[in-house]
Amino acid sequence: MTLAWLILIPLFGGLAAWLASVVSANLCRWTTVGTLVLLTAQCLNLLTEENTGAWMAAESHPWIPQIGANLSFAVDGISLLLVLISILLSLVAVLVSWKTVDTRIGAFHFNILWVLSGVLGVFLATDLFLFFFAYELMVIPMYFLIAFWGDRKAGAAATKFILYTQASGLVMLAAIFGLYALHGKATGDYTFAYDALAAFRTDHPMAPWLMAGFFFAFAVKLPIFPFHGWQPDAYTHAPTAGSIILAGFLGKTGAYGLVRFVLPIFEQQLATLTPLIATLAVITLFYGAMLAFAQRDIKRLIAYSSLGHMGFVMLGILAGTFQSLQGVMVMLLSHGFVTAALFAMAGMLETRTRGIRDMERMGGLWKQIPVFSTLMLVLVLISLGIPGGGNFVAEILILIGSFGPLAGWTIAALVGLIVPAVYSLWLIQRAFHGQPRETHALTDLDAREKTLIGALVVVLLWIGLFPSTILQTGAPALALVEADPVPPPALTAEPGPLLAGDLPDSRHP
Amino acid sequence: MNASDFQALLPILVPGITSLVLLLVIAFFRNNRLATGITLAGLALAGYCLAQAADSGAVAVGILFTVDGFSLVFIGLTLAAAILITLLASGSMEDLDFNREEFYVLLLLATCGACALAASSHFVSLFLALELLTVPIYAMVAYRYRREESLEAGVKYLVLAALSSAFLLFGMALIYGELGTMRFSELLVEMMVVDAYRPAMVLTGSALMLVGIGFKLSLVPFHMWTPDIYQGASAPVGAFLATISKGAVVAVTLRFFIESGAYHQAGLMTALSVIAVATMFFGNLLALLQTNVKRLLGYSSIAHMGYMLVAFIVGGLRGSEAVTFYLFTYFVTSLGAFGAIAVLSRGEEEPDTQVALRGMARRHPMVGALMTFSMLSLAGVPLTAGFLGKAWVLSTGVLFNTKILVGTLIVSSAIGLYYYLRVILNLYARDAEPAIPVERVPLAGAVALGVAGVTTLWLGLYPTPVLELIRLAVAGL
Repeated sequence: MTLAWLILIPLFGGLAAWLASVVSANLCRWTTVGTLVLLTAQCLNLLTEENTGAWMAAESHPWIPQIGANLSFAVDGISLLLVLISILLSLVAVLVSWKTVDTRIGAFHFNILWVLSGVLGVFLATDLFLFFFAYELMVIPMYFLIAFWGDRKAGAAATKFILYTQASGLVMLAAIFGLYALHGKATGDYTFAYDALAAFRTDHPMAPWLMAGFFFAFAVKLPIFPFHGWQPDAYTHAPTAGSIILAGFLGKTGAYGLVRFVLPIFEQQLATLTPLIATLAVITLFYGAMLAFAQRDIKRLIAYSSLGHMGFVMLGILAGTFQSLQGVMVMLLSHGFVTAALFAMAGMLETRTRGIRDMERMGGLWKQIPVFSTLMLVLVLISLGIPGGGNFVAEILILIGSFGPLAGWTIAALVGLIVPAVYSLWLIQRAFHGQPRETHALTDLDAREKTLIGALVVVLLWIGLFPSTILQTGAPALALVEADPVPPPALTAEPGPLLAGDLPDSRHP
Repeated sequence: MNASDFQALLPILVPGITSLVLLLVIAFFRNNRLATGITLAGLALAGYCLAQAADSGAVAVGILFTVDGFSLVFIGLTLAAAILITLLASGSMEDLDFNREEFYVLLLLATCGACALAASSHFVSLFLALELLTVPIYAMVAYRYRREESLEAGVKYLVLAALSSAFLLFGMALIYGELGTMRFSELLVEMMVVDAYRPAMVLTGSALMLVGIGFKLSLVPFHMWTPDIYQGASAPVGAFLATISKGAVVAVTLRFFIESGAYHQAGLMTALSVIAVATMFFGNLLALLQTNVKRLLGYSSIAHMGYMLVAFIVGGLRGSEAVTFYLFTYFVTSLGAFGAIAVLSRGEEEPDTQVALRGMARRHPMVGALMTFSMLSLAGVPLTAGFLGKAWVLSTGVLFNTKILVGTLIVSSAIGLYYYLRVILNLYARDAEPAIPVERVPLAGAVALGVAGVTTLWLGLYPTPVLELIRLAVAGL
């Protein structure tokens, strides 16, 4: 029941928070924080389970026997790390909004917790019908978060978000049913269970279409070009908490879906489409970076920068080697934390400048709010991939891992990594240096904000300098996913620094 | 007719008898609450008789009716919906200043017709029950006759329904003339004897029948009446039209297709597929332009009948289960959507435009939440009954490889999501003055709305018992 509780606790917590808001706003906030702390404890508890590549914990409850759907949950290294980041970033979202959100507090925290519940459902579900259920479900509270607590243009952004997601979700539902039908007809066992379906291989002519269905939904979720239409608006016009949730872990469900479902089941079909998708990934990288460069709105810049990183993630997933997948894992975590931190900073800046997000109207912030500016510089440097930050480890691993199967694209991606450096530093130049234009007399960070961002920076540095814990947690499960069937030698002994260091030698391209 | 026949027919007869009792009572005492009470008592009694009839097996009453598990499930669904609609109507009619009680007589008669339709297995009973269902609706639609739109809607419905009934009758006559029998099951037997009949005549007859059925189910291109009638009728009547009227016709059509072997007529099935695609598309596309929520719900009901047709066309055990389950989910969802409008009406005025509903959720949080939930269910969002219904239909379509139908379902569902969201966003808008000041929501209506909402959630989370029931019921067909 532990895993089911991971999903039920935020559901009940959300209701409790809404009820608590009737009593007082602070009680509501503390209830939410309490729920999230409880969840973190549960999660850390799970980390102690045996991690050999199979499920670390699994459970199943009957649901709709007529169709073969059950409430099946399971967790392995990959999903556990993603679950952990989701819970932690939800906590960040709540803490960031502590002083800034005071309308309909109950509903706000309710939606945050219910989004988390949906996302946890996605990461933990091993029944494809349940997976879809959670996949669609997490979108609705997110829609409300964007539409009701976002800025003036948030209504249209929220609608675009939900239309893209639900439409692509329906295509995935058809693909799920198609897989269910094919498997049922071939084996006589009509089931949605992941273990059964993941082992199923078929040459049926519909199989490429099924892969396309799954891929389409995840490509919209990540997103990658050309399915990214919803992303800049949604990330920009959402409230700070919303942007943190969206960029921090909601987009990661797309990457998770690709690694969990598309890579194992549709290996063959994916191989034929790899050149096309790899090109799209590289285009996304350049597109995101170039457009970030052109932005004046600071949140929109961060949104496009996030898009660029997702192109990189897609490249790593496509390569499918153990190292690139390890890199993807680290990138998902590191990118999540750094983008969440950047959005948090942007939100704090926006409250201080009373709504100005246009960097051309800022300037000279460094003198006024030095602590803020320093932390911002650190985060921006980590985001562009400075060694010592998490993004660097991720990028190195992905580049080295992808060079083997996708050499040309990897070189293009490498070139593309120059642009983030440019726009990131230009962000600092425009907003923080020079003479103040319209932003005057700003107050620096208070203790709560300093602690929050400081903690995020520490986590990012830890990922960057000591990535082995993460790599070790994800390694066994990733080894099962990677395209090359030969397991890396490091796993026969105990996992050690081989996985983090000695990178060019431990895998043969 | 012996005792067991009588027991089987009781669920159908009781609403009819109740209407007569009510008519007599009205002659002496005019009281809205009393009339509501008698109606509810009659419907509940019919439900009790239903439970009794369910214990015995399938009963063929003469050649006209077959009261089996399938018809009992539909009769049960109809009675439950009628109870909720009675509650909704009762609440919204408190402020009416002319005769209110006759409405329930009409409602009971139409319900009796719908129940009879679910059990009919003969052309004669089909037509009689259909007319018994339709004629009271003419009056129900035009009930608030002082509003121009209601009167217009009533007359429009009268003319068009009568015309479609004529088509239906002509089609049935052609088939009878060719095959010599009117009983559904015997039609199949007659058609087995090759060269004894002209297939072209049977096909023509079937096509004409399809026109009549297409009208009742508001399938494209027989759907033109729907938005006007839904707008003109009051919300409880709209609920009745959307749920009971359509559900009964679907039940009898399903029985007709299965028992008479119409599924084997390739021409007919192709025509039905084309109609399904057109219905799904036009239903959703035309709804995009609507600013009146009742018209929008009308177009939405067109689209939903299109989705249901996908499972209908697949047929067989799986298809029939999917159709029935879809109707269950569609019933509760529609009752929630129409119910939300019904509970907010005052006298003859109803908040049915986007403008009138703007910001409604802020003044009535619970009603707004329930309406939002119903809209999400119509859109097919998980956690609601509407999602599982649509998933069932989609799975049936995929399992039987109907690519075009499935593709159309997906695309049109995606289109549909947009206008439902617009309604939801409008409910929570910040800058609105209430068009119709409403302080208190009638208790009866609130109860009905609550039941509809809870059932939508329950079916959306745990459909297993209902699915078992449907499976047992359909197996007997």
